[in-house]
Amino acid sequence: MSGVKLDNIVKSYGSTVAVNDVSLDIKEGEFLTLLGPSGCGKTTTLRLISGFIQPTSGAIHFGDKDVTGIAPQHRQIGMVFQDYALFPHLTVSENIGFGLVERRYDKAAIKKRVDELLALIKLEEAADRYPSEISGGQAQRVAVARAVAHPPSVLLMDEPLGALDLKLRETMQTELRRIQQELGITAVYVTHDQSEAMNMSDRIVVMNAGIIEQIGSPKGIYANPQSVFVANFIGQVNILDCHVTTQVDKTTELDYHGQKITAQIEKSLRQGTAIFLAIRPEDIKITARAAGKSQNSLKGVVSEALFSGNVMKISVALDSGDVIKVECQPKANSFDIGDHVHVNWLPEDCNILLN
Amino acid sequence: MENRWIAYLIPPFIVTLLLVAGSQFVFIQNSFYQDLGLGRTGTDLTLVNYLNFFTDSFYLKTFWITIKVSALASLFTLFLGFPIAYVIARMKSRLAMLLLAGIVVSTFVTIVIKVFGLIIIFSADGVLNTTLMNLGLIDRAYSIIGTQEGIVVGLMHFTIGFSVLLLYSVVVTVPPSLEYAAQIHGASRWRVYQRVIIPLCTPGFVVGGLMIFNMCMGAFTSAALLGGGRVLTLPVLVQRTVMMEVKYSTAASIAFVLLVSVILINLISLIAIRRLRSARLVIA
Repeated sequence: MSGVKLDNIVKSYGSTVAVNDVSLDIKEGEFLTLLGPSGCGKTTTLRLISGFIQPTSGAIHFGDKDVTGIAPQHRQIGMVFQDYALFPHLTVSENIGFGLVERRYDKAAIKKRVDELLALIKLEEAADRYPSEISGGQAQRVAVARAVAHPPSVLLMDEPLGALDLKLRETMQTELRRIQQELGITAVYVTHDQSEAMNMSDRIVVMNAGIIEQIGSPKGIYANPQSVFVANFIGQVNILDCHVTTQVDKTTELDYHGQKITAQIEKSLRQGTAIFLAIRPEDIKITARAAGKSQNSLKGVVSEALFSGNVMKISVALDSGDVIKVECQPKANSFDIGDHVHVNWLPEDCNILLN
Repeated sequence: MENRWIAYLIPPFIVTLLLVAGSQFVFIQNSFYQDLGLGRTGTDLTLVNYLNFFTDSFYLKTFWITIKVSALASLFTLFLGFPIAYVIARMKSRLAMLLLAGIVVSTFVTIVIKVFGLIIIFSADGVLNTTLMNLGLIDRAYSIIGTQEGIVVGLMHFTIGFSVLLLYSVVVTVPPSLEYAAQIHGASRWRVYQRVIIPLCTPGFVVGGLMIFNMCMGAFTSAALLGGGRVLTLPVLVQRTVMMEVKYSTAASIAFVLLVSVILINLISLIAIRRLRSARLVIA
């Protein structure tokens, strides 16, 4: 087992650049997720780590070893595929033991390891069944067991839960995370589902158009997105076009269509800089009257109100024409379409994005 | 509604049945009467034609040659067809469709034209021999015409297109992700074939192989032209017995032996393969 390091990886196909100068340092035992929309280069990055494709330029290291140019079968990797890719002519046990046979383990060692893994994935009773005779969730667990049977340097997972239904997907997220932690394996996970990425990862790499937009912990990325793309991709966000008026220490005064907004931010900005102000819907409160001086407050009219069980999703059309999305407790808030309201939020909940 | 339409199918069904089964019945029935030559038969039911077949070393040798050349041709065709089918099945470009279309078209070119092509290339004064002799590589022309090798080549030429199409349809059922999975978990290219692709294609090999074998056993044109009268197979022998010797009952008995032996070989092969597969499961 080892960490994985990508140095300035570029992969181009003709004139299209699929992965553009990506550098990553994946720590040993870390669960790292490559997250992004389809075509963002996350699957290409995974395939580059697997060795099925070779980078146009750049180098890949597993621990201290340079593996650039080495064929997949010599890289000591485990991989879980979206369609599971279990061998239909082999039983569950034989599937799990596939890599062990290829690596010339002796019979007794194979049996011991396969039994261990069957216990780990809690599928002892299905050992002699064929892939066609087990469920999707079970097949997924078998695929994971096969991938880790011969302890890999890194476990790669390519949207492994995409084919499962929602309930099962949530169970499998916990299950995959448990297996990864019990084995202490380095894992790289590819998904386009942000909630999946948030639930499982130590760190998330948000990718877009072949480049890395941001790397960070799920909490860090959610609280401090560094671009409009990341803010929009991870959860919901309201974006307002503003100008910087003054900045005293962290307290920054912004101008939004002639209205004053106060933000508490770390970055130092010059006067007049055009910025995007990002506010999460759950940080905003709706009141009938303007809130106190300590909060930002804008006037608007309720244009949409959706009740979805645990939350109430309200859209407020501001005087400027922008629409602000708000998520709030259904019990405390009963607003109807057409109500004149104020949307309020704290200066600490402001996020400044430069684009 | 459906039943009313089925009624319209009954007359053509009866006509077809009479033409196919009826003529076959008359022909085969003929084989159970003694052959008196010139199309005349005896009046008593007898197995004498079959006894003649199985006691005459000439017939038995022809029978054996037919099975041998058919089996060899099917085997070689599978070996030759599989790589072609595999490459086409794994192609991502549109070239694959073009190649498949080419194979289909060339498969339906009449075998007579194709065999004459072979003859032009392989005959004693053909392109191949002339070239090799001019280069001084051989000092005597070698022709495959009139040899068993020649018939094997002819049968392969006849069946290769079918074999590629058959095997293509088998290979496309094996998802490429299985190959990736095998490779990433330590299998070399060769081991990927050995442990994944070939086992998954085996049922296809068996069925495809049998279909090609059956085509070879019944092949007349390529066997007649490349056998050149010197090497005979059963279909050629049947034709000669009917056309040149006018011995209908004898010909019928040969044809019936051919039919029954093909059916038996197919059944035995399928049973044997099933045995092998279930045995493998026990080992595993």
